[in-house]
Amino acid sequence: MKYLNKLILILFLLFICTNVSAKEINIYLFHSSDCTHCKAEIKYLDELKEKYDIKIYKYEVVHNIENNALLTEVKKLMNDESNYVPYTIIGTTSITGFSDVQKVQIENAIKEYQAISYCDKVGIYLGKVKDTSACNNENNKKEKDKEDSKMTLPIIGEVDVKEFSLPIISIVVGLVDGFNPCAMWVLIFLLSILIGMKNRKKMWILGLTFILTSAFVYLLIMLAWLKIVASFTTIRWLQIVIAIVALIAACINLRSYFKARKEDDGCTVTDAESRKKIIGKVKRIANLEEESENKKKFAFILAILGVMALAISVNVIELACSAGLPLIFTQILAMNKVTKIAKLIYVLIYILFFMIDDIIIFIIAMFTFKVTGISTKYTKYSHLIGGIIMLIIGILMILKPEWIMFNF
Amino acid sequence: MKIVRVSAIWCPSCILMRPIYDEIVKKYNLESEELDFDFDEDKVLPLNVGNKLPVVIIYKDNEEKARIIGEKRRDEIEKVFEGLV
Repeated sequence: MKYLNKLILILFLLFICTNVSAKEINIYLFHSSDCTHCKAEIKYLDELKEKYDIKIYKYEVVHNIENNALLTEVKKLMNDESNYVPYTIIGTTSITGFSDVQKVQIENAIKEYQAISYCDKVGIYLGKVKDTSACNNENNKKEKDKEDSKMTLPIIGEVDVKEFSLPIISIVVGLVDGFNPCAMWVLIFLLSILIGMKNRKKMWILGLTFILTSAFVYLLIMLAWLKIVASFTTIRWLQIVIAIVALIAACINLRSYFKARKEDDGCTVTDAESRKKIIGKVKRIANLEEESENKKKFAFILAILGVMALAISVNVIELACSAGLPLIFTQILAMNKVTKIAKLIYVLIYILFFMIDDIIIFIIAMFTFKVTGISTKYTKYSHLIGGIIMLIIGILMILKPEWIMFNF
Repeated sequence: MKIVRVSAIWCPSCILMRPIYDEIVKKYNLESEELDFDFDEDKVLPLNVGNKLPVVIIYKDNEEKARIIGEKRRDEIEKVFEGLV
């Protein structure tokens, strides 16, 4: 009799476990009958049917006008702008295109939604799902979250923290990233040489060329990071790899802060070879300026090109100096469901504050004909703050990724 | 008394410290020689200044008496000179 009770208990537990995990997951696939990737995905989804309890709804959008209209509405619902098929929705995750990467994303999404209750808003819109309780809970939670994220600040009044989080992170991380000394010395060196020219108009043009080229190069680098990270953002293990990179970068930054604390504040002379190369380039640019009268115009154009080449090489070198922070920032952007335009704006805010110390030094030099320096104490603290930021975000990305998803 | 000031044109700390040392030179009526780490390499190398700039070497009767390395407050610098004057 005792064994019978145990057997019943085990069966009962088994039933609960399987019941919990046997929840049917709806998959909505918008495809085209002429598209090879779509056919490959349809075949893949059919194979997944043997492995998981899934229901697949297919909508051919090229030859069926109604389905095409549905696709447009569903994209609005999902806040998505991509125009490609296959376009797959599982729960609140949308996946565009189909290759090995998307295979992993689809399977991850199925496992994720089997384990949680979620609002299948696309299913409700398409009339495939009647039960809207999950959505109501989610909406209530969102309303509550909205209330929770509201704060009343002196003078400013009521503020929604979630609305402010991404811009604030763009500003803070951009500022900290901008304070690292890697490229600063080149700007100071260039300004010192330009001041020697005593020609304010040329100083403005060459100085602005250096700053704008640096900003443009850094913009390209960050958009490249964003593209890479965005295509893998739903793959959990890749998020963890990026988090580990962030933690390593954090340790490096904190170590250089504690090391610098024991040393004298001052300029550390490193890498004589590359420094000499850059100094040589700048001197050649300056010497171009002393060309004879008739070659002046041609020489000045060469000087501008020289400054652009200098800015490009310095910023590519600097990439290794501060790769941690841009990588994390773009990962946070990718994890937040914001439109492409919004992402570009946040990157531009980041770069504005990344360049702000250079801009200040440049403007002071232009108006006073004197180069000002920023004490290395502050660059030392930028290692500390940068290290702490990367440590916190790296840990959050592993343990609580949803805490850095402000727009979900 | 003589001082040799080793700095670099690209070094922000050197820019910050320059006016302070200019005043010190006036105050103590010092003989002052300025060397650039990159452009006066032949003179700087024998001085073994290390990898932190600026460096100020103080000589008295042609003998090195002290070195001041990196960014320092004005009172810290004056304390060194008071001890040597």
